[in-house]
Amino acid sequence: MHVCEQAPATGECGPAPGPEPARRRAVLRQLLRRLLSGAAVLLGAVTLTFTALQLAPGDPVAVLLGPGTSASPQVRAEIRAEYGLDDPAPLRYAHYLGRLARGDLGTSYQLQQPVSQLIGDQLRPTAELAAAALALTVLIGVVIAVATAGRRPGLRAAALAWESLALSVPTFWLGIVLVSVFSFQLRILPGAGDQGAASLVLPSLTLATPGAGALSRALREGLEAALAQPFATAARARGLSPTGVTMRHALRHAAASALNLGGWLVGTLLAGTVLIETVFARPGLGSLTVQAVTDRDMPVVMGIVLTSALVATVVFTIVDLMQRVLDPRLRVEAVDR
Amino acid sequence: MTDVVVASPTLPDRSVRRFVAGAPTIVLTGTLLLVVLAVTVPGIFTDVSPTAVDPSAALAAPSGAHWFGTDQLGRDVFTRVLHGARGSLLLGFGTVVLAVWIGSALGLAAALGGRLVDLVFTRVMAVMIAIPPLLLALLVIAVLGPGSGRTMIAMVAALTPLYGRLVRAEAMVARRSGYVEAARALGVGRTAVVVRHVLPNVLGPTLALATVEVGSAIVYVAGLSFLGLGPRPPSPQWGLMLAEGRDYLRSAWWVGVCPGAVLALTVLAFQAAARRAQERLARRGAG
Amino acid sequence: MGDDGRGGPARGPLITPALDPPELCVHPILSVRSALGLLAVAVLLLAGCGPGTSAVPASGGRPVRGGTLNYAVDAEPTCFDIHASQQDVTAAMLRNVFDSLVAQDDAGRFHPWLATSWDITDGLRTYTFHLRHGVTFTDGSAFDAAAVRANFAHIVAKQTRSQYAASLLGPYAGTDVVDPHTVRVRFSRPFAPFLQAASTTYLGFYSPKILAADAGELCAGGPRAVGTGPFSFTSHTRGQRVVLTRNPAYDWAPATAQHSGPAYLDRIVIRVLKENSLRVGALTSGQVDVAAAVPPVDARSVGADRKLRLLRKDVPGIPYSLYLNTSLAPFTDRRVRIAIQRGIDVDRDVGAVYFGQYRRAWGPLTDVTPSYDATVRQSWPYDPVKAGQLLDEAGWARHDGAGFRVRDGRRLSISWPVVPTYLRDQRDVLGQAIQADLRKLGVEITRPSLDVGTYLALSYGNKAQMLDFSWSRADPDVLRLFFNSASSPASGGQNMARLADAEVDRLTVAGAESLDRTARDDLYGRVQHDVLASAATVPLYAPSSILGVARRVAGVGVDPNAWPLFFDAWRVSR
Repeated sequence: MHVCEQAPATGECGPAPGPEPARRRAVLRQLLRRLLSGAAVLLGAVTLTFTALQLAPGDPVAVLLGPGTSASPQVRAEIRAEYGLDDPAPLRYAHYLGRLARGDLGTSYQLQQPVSQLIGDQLRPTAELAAAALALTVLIGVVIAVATAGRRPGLRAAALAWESLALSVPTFWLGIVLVSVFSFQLRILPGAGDQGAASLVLPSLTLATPGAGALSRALREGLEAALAQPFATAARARGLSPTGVTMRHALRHAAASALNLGGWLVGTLLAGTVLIETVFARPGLGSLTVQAVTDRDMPVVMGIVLTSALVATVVFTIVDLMQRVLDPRLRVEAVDR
Repeated sequence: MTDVVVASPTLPDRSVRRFVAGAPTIVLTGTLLLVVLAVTVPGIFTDVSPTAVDPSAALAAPSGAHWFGTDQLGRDVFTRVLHGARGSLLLGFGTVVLAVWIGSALGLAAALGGRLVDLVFTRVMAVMIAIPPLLLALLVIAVLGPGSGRTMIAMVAALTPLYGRLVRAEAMVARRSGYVEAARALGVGRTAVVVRHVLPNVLGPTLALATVEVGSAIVYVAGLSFLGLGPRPPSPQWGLMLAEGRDYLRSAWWVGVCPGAVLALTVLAFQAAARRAQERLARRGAG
Repeated sequence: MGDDGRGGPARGPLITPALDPPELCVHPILSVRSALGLLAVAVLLLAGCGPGTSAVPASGGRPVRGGTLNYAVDAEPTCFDIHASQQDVTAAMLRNVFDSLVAQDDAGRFHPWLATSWDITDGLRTYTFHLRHGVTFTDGSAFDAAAVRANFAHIVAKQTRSQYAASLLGPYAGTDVVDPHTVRVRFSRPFAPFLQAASTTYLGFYSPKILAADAGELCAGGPRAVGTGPFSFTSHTRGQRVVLTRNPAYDWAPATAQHSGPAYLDRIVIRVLKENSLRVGALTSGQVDVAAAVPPVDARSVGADRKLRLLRKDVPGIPYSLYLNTSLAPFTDRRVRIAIQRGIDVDRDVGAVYFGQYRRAWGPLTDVTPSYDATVRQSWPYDPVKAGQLLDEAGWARHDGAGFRVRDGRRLSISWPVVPTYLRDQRDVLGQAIQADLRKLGVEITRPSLDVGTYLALSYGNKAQMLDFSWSRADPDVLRLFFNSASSPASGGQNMARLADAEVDRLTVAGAESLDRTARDDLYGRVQHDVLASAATVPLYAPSSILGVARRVAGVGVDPNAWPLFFDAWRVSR
């Protein structure tokens, strides 16, 4: 975690030495490799969801027809042909890949609408919620870490206790308690829906809590390690206030290690929306997921899994590349590999 | 929690601080003990059946007779929470134990089984890691349908990649360390090398992770049953009680809030215990 | 099931907004009980709370044009095509968008709507409708005889995959366009229930242009759903909201409405809030003006809120019931079925789970359904002793270690699937109470959780031992749908109990061929008793639509199917 431990002998971990052509080529090659492996992961996710669809029991035709229908075998056969249910598996896989390449995620069994359209419709509220929660996570995490790193033990203890609580309290229960208190009892915030900023407060706060706990813990540990480094002592000797040292120097180093959390954080936020949107009756991908899984509406489930794999892969790739920029060691290592 | 004391040897009033810092530990240890007791012998706390219906006493507020009040069918919430501990914890533990086993087996096989096996393994794991565990579990449930056993399968599928990756990485380190090659050169069999040299090195970090993950697994299981995608009623599940209690939140908060509070406290206790264990491990390793 | 009676508010004449003093008219609503209810209605009418006051509140306020009404519902249609969907929520929501040929009032009489008059000839085989002039769809095309024919053709077309509307057309033979404003609908057999069927949203009319162009995409709803109604369907965002906008050209309200001309409201925003506590919270905090399906646990507090009113309407049709599959063991034995019927403490369970807000049901029809036979009341009281004896007689006399009855080494265990997608009204809680009752009797009830597809495969394949649901329809012909042996689920019917009783078959067919009130009362009365005696069903409670309405909104109406109407609604203050 201690980014600077074996850093070049400059004392401070300054920016990496100026780029030479060979190094630049290596970085490019690395970037390319990273993108390729990201693509491989996506192809794997596609294969996984396709396999899941093959394994899912139940007759999609019955779902398509709905209850109380007298469908002749002929009509059933037509539907099977329409959805390509009778083709051999490799052919269906090829068709599936072809459709995905065109951005076609199939049609929902239950809602009879294109999956891409369903997901597109639900993207905005989920993105709003996730963005608000991410902002709150970073805000709360940084503020608590900076305010408590290397401070009085009482303060540290309080922060530690808060972090433990934040990490272990189930978000759906926290959400219910917040709704009871702020919406039903005090009546100061709406408990449901997605109308306006006020309705975003409780859900984003709930969703941000575990991530904020993890972030402030990681940041504080990183900060304390960085503050123990010679450069921090030197900065203090130059007359910088402790907060100044923390803000100007240590935070950058701590951030590099906290970035490790990036991928996990985005995954947690995405998965968290499944529960949070249900608790707060918010529309969005999470609600759609629950409905699709309950109805075993496989095309929708697959579409959501693929979308989230795409988002996660992009985030992982970005985080990885950022880490390489922030931490020269990783760059060298990767070139040597 | 105690690292507060350790980190501050020059405190003015150590005994007070130690007491304050120790209070949460006492509460959490007590919780753990109670939960373990509730799992093994729920009968010692209460002789009321968790499914005994008494509509005339429905939604009674917490009192001496009903510590956590009664629910919509007049069932004692405290009794149900106690009995719920078993269902919730067994699923949580079972999931982690299975995930550790399967993950370790796969991870070891990848580390020691040759390039192709390793390649396939790392690719598959990369895919599974790219999907958040809850979503992976939901995918499995979409395929299999809900139910106690299926919830466990879904959770195992979701958590296994974590251990698989960890074990593979640790085993790789052990393999490269030289003594494995030395042992092989001395004619020690493959299996024997794994059991005697690789496994012990892998075990510590894996178990440390597993302890932390028991708490998470309990939350996941509760979350799934909260969504109605885990075990169904009348299976005593905390998540299920919480979900049922939501309908009555406006007039009878205790039906939903009490099981949730116990769930939160239990998870907190597990994670605090895991953290302490990890710190011990780290200190021993350092010292 | 999605089909069942819900989504609507109070008994017609009782829907009286802004009454003065309010207590006088609101409290009786809460305590109305069937027969007593009628009396109460009469009293209220005398007291000036009758239907005529609906549009003009006693407080002296006059209907105000404009404004948006926010309405929270508990369920979202999976399909918005009124011709395809069997869901109650679809019909309820789109009642404001689609008109019908005729309108039914609370007494079961029919009034002109899109048809100004009609003749029934050829022994109930031919219905000739004389259509209103000057009616247009919101896309500008004219509503005429050809439009009627195109719509009925769409309903029976195979591609439509109609789940309910087609069965409402019964023995449909064809539609003839006599002239642009006269249309003749023919049936192959006498078909008495047609007028009632024609009054429902399911037999409403799309613009023929839409049927020609977008027939395959009607399930998605939205602006494609072009009707002649007082509101047009502006937009739908899945899981979020449905927006309806006033149709300014509307001038053909049915005789049952309170005013003519266009609707008062500019817009209706329907929000989907499935979670009960949150929906009620949105109502009490003023985020929405009207909330559907106020849960019984909150009914009292909502009713006591000075800013809110509670409107309720009992749903006609089949009550929420259990169906015991008479073709599968152990229910092939009538004694076992009777034991289940008598071994459930329905009074206590329904009373406790619904806090006295829903009444227990005694027969296979709810008491607000035409031809309901009141003599079914108290005909099968709770009797666990008798139930136990019957099970002993049927050979289930021994008990295993867990206390369940066994016969030939097999436990008396019944699988009663639960479909979370269809769950509403705390029915899973009621299910747990029933489970506990039957456990005392030594009968094990297991409740596997199923998705819709698996559930349908199970019920079509006749593999479900016990099922549960209710069905809203303001006509006793619904008994034919549920208990006639020809009405099996695989053939579009709802005979989930697989009852095959020659007498029930004969009576339900005879009922569908008669319009004579007395004759129908007699025929359907006998069906109700026969079905109960066969113990193919255990009626549990009569669903009631409980609508929470803010006092700043007046004129909200409810049709006989318990579907809410916003045509006469307006905002008292904006």
